Amino acid sequence: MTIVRCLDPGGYVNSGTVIRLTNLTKRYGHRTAVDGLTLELQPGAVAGFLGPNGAGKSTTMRLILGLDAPTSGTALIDGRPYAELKQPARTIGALLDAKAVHPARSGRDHLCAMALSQRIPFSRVEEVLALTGMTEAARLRAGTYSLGMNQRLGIAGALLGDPQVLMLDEPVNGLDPDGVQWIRTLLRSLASEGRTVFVSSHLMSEMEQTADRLIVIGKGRLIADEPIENLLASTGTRVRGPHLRALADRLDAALWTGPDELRVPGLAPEQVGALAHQLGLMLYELGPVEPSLEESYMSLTAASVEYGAGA
Amino acid sequence: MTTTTVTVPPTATLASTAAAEWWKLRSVRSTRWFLGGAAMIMLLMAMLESDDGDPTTNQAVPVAMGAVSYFVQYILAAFAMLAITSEFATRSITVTLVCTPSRTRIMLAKTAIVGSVVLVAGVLVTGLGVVASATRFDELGDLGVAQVVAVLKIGSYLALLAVLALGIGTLVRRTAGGLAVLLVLLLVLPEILSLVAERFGLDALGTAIEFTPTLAGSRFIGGEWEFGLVLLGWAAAGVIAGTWALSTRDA
Repeated sequence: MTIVRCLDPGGYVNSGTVIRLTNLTKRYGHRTAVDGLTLELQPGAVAGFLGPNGAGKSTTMRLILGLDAPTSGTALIDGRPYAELKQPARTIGALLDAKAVHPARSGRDHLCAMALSQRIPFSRVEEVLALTGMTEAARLRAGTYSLGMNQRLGIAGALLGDPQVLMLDEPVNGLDPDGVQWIRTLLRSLASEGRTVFVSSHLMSEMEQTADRLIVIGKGRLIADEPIENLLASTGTRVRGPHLRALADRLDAALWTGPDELRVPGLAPEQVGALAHQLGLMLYELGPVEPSLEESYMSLTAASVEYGAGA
Repeated sequence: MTTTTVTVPPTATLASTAAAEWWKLRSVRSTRWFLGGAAMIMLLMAMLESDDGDPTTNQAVPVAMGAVSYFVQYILAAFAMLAITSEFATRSITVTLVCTPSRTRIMLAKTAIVGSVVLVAGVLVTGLGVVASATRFDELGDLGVAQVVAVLKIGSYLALLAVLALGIGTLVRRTAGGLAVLLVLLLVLPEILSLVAERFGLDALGTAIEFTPTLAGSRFIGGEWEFGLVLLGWAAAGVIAGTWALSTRDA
């Protein structure tokens, strides 16, 4: 996929914009939405921002965009707060709430007003409409759109300024499978052009396909900030065979997961296989336990689910 | 990374923000309904108002003025208020603020556009009413500079009132609440205060009432130019309060 630049391609794009959050904290009354968040977003990668509903993902994005003022700490874009950016829409393209559109205004008029405020030519409006497959629907009033169409319009708005940073809050909500595939490809291609992509979701499976790095938060606090491979890394071995008793006796950590099946956390298949060979055991199956990202995520956030059942 | 050729992208200005605000107003149907509605009511009043039967007086301007003070001013003030409260209601204010992070610039741009649109609409609607009732009362030949000046003054009054309404809308954020505050300021407050002033013989309060927007407006239109400054003060207070609210409160 090619992203058509709205201005001279030899221009200002691709200097690499860095977003840095330092001790970012936001309280609404007694509720702490974001709690001492410190992290840095680098260009050229898709950073997945994960957390259960109410974890503070949207608030963090609102703080970055200066929509809410932090209680303490800072959110800086290349060293400046958002409000001081000379070219906000060309620096960060954001989609916070796809439904935040006047229902009586057409999608095209919505984008035209955005373009006028940034002195972006209307030809760019047509480009982003084409890119998001909204050219036809753009003449209709936004009130008639489905959630998926609203998401596409919102993404068109975020892309309008051909920004260095793309920040999307739950962009796949309401999209059909084609739309989901489309957005994955789009995010990957934007990152490969050296842009910073920051995308939130409460669905781990979504991130597994898209993100290079995962930032997990719960109750406003940072829980994990790691390359996705780390979170996906093998954490154990599954082994199946008729006479595993001897193996289980030698491995303290081994757990019976079936009448002829053991799970050995913390050991690689190579180690378990070697031991089985030493003991002369016949094996039917030997392999790594690959926890799904979903599982690691659940275990990471279990303690911090804001509205958990029975909590 | 070094960049050799730098194309300096155009920087957004007050003019570009105002252009966006103008586009927002013209791209929703309610704008046409409000302005068209104001014109219809003016025409209706010009058609229904009875002849005072006195051939020596000129009736056209008072008829138009009556329509303005009973109906048109509220329609146009509500229109001005909706320019901001509709953005809060639909949450599209976040899009506006992300595009234009300077709250002062947004407020000034909205003030310029809403004020200009209401000025033009107010002059046209009032002018329409004056011509229509002059036609009906066979006073067309009497229309002259005095009537033109009156129409321009009524238009200015409506524009300043609209800016005040915009400021109140920015402060209150909700349409219903904003309209309630506006009606208290325009209708209820002068009435209550004059009752209090009369009952307790408070002359100072009686004088103060003359500075409320509606009464200052009628004195301005009636020829006391200094009351134009009072209206300007109300409009400025609205803009300042709105800018303050937009800058200090979370969106």
